[in-house]
Amino acid sequence: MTTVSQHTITGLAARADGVTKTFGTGATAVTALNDLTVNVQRGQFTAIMGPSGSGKSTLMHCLAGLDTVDSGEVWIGETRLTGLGDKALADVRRNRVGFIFQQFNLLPTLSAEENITLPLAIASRRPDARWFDTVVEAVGLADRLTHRPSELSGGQQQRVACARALLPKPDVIFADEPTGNLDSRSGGDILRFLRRSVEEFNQTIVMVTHDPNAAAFADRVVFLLDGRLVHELRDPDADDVLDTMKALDALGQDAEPRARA
Amino acid sequence: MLRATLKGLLARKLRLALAGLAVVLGVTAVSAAMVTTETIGNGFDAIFATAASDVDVSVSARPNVDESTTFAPPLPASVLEELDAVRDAESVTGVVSADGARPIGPDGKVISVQGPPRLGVAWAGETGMTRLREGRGPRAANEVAINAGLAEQGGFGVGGTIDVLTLRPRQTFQVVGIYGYRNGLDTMGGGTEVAFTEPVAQQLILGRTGVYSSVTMTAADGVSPEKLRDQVADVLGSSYLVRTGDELAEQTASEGQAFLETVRMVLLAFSGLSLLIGIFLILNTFSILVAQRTSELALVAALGARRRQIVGSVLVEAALVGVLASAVGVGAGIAVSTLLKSFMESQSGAQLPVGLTVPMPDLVLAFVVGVLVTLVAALVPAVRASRVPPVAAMREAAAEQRSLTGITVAGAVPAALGTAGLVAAVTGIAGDFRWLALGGGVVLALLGLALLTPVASRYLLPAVGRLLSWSTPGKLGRRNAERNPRRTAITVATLVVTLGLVGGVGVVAESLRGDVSSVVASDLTADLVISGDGVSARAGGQSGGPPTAADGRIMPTFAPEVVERAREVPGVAVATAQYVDTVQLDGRAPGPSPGNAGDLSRLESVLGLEAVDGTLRTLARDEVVVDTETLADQGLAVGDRIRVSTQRAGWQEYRVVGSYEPNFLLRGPVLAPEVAAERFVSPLPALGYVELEPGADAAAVKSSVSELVADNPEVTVADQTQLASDASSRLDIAEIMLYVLLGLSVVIGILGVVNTMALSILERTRELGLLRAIGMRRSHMVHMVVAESLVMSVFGGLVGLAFGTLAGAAFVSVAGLAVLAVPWASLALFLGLAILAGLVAALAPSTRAARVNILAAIGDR
Repeated sequence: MTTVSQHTITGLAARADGVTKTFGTGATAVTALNDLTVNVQRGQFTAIMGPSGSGKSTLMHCLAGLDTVDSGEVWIGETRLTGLGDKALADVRRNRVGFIFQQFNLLPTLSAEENITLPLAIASRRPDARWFDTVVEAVGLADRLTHRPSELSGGQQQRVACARALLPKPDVIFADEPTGNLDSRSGGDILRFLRRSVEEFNQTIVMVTHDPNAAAFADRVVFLLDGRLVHELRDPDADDVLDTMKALDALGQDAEPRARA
Repeated sequence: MLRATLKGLLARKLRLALAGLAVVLGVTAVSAAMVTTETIGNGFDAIFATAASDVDVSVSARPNVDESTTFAPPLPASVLEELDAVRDAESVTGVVSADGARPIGPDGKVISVQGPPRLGVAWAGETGMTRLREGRGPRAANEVAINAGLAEQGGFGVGGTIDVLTLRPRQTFQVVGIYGYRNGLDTMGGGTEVAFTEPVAQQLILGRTGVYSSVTMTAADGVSPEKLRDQVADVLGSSYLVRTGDELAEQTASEGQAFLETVRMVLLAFSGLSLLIGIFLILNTFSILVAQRTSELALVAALGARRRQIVGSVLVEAALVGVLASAVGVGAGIAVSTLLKSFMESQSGAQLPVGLTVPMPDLVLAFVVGVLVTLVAALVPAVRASRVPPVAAMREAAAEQRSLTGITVAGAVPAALGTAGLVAAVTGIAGDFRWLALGGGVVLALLGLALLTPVASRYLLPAVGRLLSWSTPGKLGRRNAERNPRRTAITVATLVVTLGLVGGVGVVAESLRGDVSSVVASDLTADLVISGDGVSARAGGQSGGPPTAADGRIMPTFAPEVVERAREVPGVAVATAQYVDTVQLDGRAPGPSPGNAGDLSRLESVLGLEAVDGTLRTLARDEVVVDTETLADQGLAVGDRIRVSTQRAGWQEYRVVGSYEPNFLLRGPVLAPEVAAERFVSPLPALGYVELEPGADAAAVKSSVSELVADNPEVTVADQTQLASDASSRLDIAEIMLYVLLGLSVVIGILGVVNTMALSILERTRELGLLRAIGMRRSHMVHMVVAESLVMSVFGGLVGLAFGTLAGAAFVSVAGLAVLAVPWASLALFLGLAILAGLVAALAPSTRAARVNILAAIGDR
């Protein structure tokens, strides 16, 4: 992966720069992101954590070009997403970004193989056969390629989704609670695959999760609270993450004691 | 449970609106048909009731021919004298009024009216209904008064002239008066009227002076019309029709309503069709609605609702939709009727002296039908939903794939029976029952086809789809079309049925056209034919036989001198005329028959007649030549005597002096031309044939002969090619009418596809969001949805057209037509229509798919 290593030198795979995002207006307005700046290093596995409503999903949606920001700028590699039209955004999502959702989100009419190659097919590109074999081998789906999603288990479906995200060699893969709908063993498979993608293929991954064990697979964990980046851990273990989460929960409760009462 | 249902209902307004649309359309069509026919019927009744309001008793001659003819032979003046003697009669008036005065408009063409008569009458002053608007009544033989409708239609005014064709050739008259009717109407039911002085009217309309078309009487004070009627009947005996004014009005109105029946049939056929399609639509919509809610219903079941409650909740929903949509439909139907009424009034020139008549019981029926149809259509998916085990349903995306084995077996049986019926009909095994076998076969095969469509879609859709999906979005669309065969089948059902009918009609019509052309070419040896509009068309009608004035209307005719002068045109070898009438035969099988007259020695040559017995020579007045089939039917032979009743003269006896092989253009008894001039409904010939000398300049002769009839806008000179195409033109009209009807159901078919597409799009919101998330552009989304819609409509179109072509071919074979002609161009056009339907149907759903909110769709916000 020569191209990727070059990127590692130049630095950032994705960047949110002073981003603010508000939902609703007036009294019911909720500030999801509040002048937030986050850098995502190339070839790194970044986890985003925080209590419910802290803005972690919104941050990911904005970074991935699924949602727009009110102010600030979002970059994928050297491309500024802020201000891009729908068509250009669609092309960025297809070529530069990969997605893994909690709900698997495969197309029921397509076989596993067709689901994996779908983003390339939309762009009328042919997958490189050796790279395809590598990816399929990595997710362990070689004997399931002709199956329809309804014939696969949840863990297998999510592995198809992982392969789909990895195949176009995107700048970043965004994973939104990828293990949220899986048992711990299937979830472990997915996390090990993501880790391996980072180490072997130099893939950049951003994962939103609330599971400290999942976050422990990351190189770096950033913690959000009320739309701000409040803490950051490098090479974390599950206990560190859990402690931080507890501390943040306490902070959150202190911040709005009357509302709870 | 009810509250939950109502809340659910409101939450799905769009989907229910789509479901309701189908019901609205069906009910609109039904109620429009009912209100329109009721209103027009009432209008006609009102017109004719006032027309007959001054008449207590009407006397007219019985028609001489049994067929539903409106031509009554004239009454001699002696009848008036007899009636003067009736004790309780206060007044006895001879009336001259009959169809057949064809005014020629300023453009040189005959003023045409569709349906109502073109009356020629004797002016009787401002009596009864008639009211002069301008000028005066006619006093001299060259003067006429005309009704206001005609004056407006032809732009005629007092002081100008008008040319009229009657039993005599074209004559010019001075317009001295314009009249309307007592209740302010310009016309009576749309007809034109020319009023002459009495002797002129008698001469031109009834054929000779001193006769009347009917006699009207009023009763003395205190005498009921019925009593007077009975007295008159006693005096005159049974040879006359004696009716009270009310009976006359009823009779006239019902004759005027003959075309109304056609309108009614067309509208009811359309509404039946749209209701049937409505059932498909509702069934489809509700199965999708219920499928989408399967998990919701399962939750309710898991919380302890009984199956009956679940079915009930779906039915309550359906009932609400049905009631609302049916109410809207009835309202829309009344609105459509108002439009139809004014449209018909403007088209026919007739005004109806009544407002919109709303037949309440009929509308209630339409309403109930709408509600019931909705309930029945919703019952199936409701029961199916209640049978889903709660746990299975609560899992995401309850399996859409259900086995097709049952439905396939159920479809194979009628399909096999239908095919067997068709084969039996085509091969002739079915014998005399071949038409029954054909009809039953088509219906059964269509039913089988409907049930087999799901399984057919599984194998045919990929094939069709491959042609249309060259890119990934296209491929995705194709896969979507394939994913639920049942739903696809039900979606395209309308297209299959409609295009099946259209294709079948197209094949049959094209084959008939080919048949008619080939028969005309083989039976007609004349090079040129002189005839009026519709005469030669009748000559080539599918029943065969010569043109007849079967409806009793005066046919377009021309002066007999035309053929005499045509004989003097250089290059003409033979020119002769044919007179036509409908006659009654008396023999072993009494009944109406085409009747003809002409110079047989010449007709033999121009029609390629073959004498079987005796010779085909110029006939004496009491001689007749009859075709062999008619002779055999009546149990007669050459040398026998035969009784023939012509429309004008009644029963006469003739001697059969010869027989001929019936020809496509000539059938029935043939009399001498002098007989026709006296006894046929029109004394003038309706057809003229011209045969050229070898080597003559056909174009030059044609233009010379055309000169001879230049002053008669009713007739033209056609060569064989024109005649063949003219003969098939009657088919064109029937075909076009049918196409219009089917076109309307195509529109509903499009709605069906729109509906399914829209619901499927709603159902797949999450997938659409995913596709956008992984980089499909909006244009890709549109492409995908259009591909799905196109694959389905092309599939439906192909299946329907294939079926229609086969059924049409079977019909052609059973009917024994000479040629099987497949109208490829038309079929391609119909397929084009199916494609267009697919594009139209994809319009709204594809827009929706393109605009889907990604985050909302994938459920992350």
